[in-house]
Amino acid sequence: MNKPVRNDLNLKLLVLSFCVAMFSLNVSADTDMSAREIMERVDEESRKSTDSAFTRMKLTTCKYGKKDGKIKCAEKPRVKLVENAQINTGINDKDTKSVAIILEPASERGIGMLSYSYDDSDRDNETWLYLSALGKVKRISVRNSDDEETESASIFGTEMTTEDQESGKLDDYTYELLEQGKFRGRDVAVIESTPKPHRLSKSSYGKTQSWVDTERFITLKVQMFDKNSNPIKKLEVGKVEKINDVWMGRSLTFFNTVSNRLTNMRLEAINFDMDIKEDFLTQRALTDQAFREKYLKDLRKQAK
Amino acid sequence: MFLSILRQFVVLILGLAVFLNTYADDSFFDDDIVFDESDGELDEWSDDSDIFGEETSIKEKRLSWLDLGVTQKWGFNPASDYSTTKERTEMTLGTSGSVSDSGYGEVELKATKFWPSDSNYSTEKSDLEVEKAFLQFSFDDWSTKIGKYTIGWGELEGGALDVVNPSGGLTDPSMIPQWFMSATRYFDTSDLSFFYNSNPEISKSKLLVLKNDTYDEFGVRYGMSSEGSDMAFYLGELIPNDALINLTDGLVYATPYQLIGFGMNKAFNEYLLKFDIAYKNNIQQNQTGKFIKVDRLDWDLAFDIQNDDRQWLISINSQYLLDFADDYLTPTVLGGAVNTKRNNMNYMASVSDKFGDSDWTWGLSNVIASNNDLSLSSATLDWDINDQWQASFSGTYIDAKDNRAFAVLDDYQRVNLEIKYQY
Repeated sequence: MNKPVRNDLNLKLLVLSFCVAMFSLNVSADTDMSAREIMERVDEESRKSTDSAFTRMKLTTCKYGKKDGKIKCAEKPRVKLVENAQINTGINDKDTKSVAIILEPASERGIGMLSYSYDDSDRDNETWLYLSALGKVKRISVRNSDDEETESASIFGTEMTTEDQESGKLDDYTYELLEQGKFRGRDVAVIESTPKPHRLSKSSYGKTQSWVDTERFITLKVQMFDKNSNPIKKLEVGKVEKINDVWMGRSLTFFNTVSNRLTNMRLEAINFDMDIKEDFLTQRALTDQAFREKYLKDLRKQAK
Repeated sequence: MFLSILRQFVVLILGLAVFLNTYADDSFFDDDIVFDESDGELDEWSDDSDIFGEETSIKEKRLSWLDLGVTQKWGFNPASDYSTTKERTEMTLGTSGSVSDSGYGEVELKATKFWPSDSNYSTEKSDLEVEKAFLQFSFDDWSTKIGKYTIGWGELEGGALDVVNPSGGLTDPSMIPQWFMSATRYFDTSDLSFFYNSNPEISKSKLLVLKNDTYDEFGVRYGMSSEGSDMAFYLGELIPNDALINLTDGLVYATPYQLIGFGMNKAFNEYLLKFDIAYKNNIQQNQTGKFIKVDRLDWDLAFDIQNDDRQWLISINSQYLLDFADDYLTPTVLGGAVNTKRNNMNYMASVSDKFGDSDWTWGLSNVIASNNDLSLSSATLDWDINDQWQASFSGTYIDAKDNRAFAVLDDYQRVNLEIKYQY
């Protein structure tokens, strides 16, 4: 009587162990690409989403906490509506020029920021702001902090920093593939980017870990660490959609885990292949409001 | 039988070991963000609206074309039992927008009500002025602008080239807009601009009666931008922003002077170096028994340092008289005179930062003016309550040498409070 039971038990154990082993093998489709190659693909895909793009985004910032296990704003959030025009330029279109103008709130309406971002490690990115009360354009020179307890210079008072928006400069980092697996139902590779010494002195991060969707080559999550390897900030990417043949997240949320503040950047509208001339992405867009409004009107028409 | 079961257990353990090895660091693949547990398994971080609820929608203003601001200002003198020196309410009404296809305009009116305890109340009880009003048109590479606005020259605010718009003075450095006509021609990486002002304004002073205010002023600026640096050349005929009393006839003059200048900035990591230099011809000067014109070389050097939210500004400014005599005189604020020094040096250091990640910002500054004849220290505390409300608290203290031009300002103390609402 006992023998069939024993055999049955043996069979169950065999099937179970087989299933466990098989599941472990099939849990993810590992990529053969190196960490650097993956990040190059991510950078390439990211450029597609910024080339000749005209976007309207809502930046929402608040102090946050957890309520009933869910993340909630602990105060009335501040909301800014921003229009941004951007093109890729330079050798192999690896540099970026952009101008961002605040539409709302009324107290900040018209504040503009012009940014040039260079792929070349030896070239520092440039930023200018227009100060209407002083009647002039002001160049902003920002070095991110060595102080691990603080964030780097923010964009329009949000938790997003100029460093968070940088693209390119891949040679400034070393990359290590930490792990591969499933994350939110997607095959991902977790890649650690460590700034090289010359970059480290300019960065507020000691390292970052990126969860890269290895099929769509889009980053789903980034964890930023200070120079003592303490986690200080996190980026969560949501509403991933294929727009104009480019995968992109329409909702990016930056969590400052030191200050417990977050900024959500939601792309309200995005339009690619716009006719954005390089002439527009100059200081004139900041000082000449008539020129700027005329150009933005034209872009809004194109976007319709 | 036991060995057989043991063998199967070993296989099971091995299988588990492989499985666990695959998930060596569970934290990489755990989704620690929870939005709404009822959503079940989330494929993506997707529902940020759950965080913000309905609060983030930008509500359409009822009068969307109207910009309204109301500011209540108080000033107290701690040296006089905190007596009220300033109590006024300012209201601004403005609008802005496109004018035809190639134009843009802005207008802002400011009404001020001075309350009885305000030191200004004895001379004016209310004031209405056009704070800003301009039309700008853009055609191809050209832009023209006409109206009342601010033109910023030079790199350093209050420096050698910041001479077009007058400011409210030492204790109120805000710029006063003026009526201009200007045109700018834009090139690839440079621009050439010209302005003309038929009625230049002089800083307000109740102590001075201006003898002659009918001069025009005009100027040309050629600016160039290159990677990591901007620079500009300046040429103009301008009216001094502060009038000067002629000690021989007791009248006050603001006569034109000519200027040739150069300004540049250069970024070095977190530093932004700013430099201005200007040669000024026909600057008014008192000499014993005479009111003459002299040449002067002004320059300034400043560093902007920005590290996170902390901003430093350190500057040095010099005004050097190219021709000089020992009997040159500088009027004092109350009408006397002291000898003029050939090189007039001013120093400034300021720092501002946020309190942690709060909505509070603090600032400290110290200005040492006229070769240490005057030292002005100030502290500010700003509270950015929300997108509509701001509050500001500040304190100012002046220490001045009692035998020099600013002696009357010695031991000047003020505490100011401002509350502002913007719609």
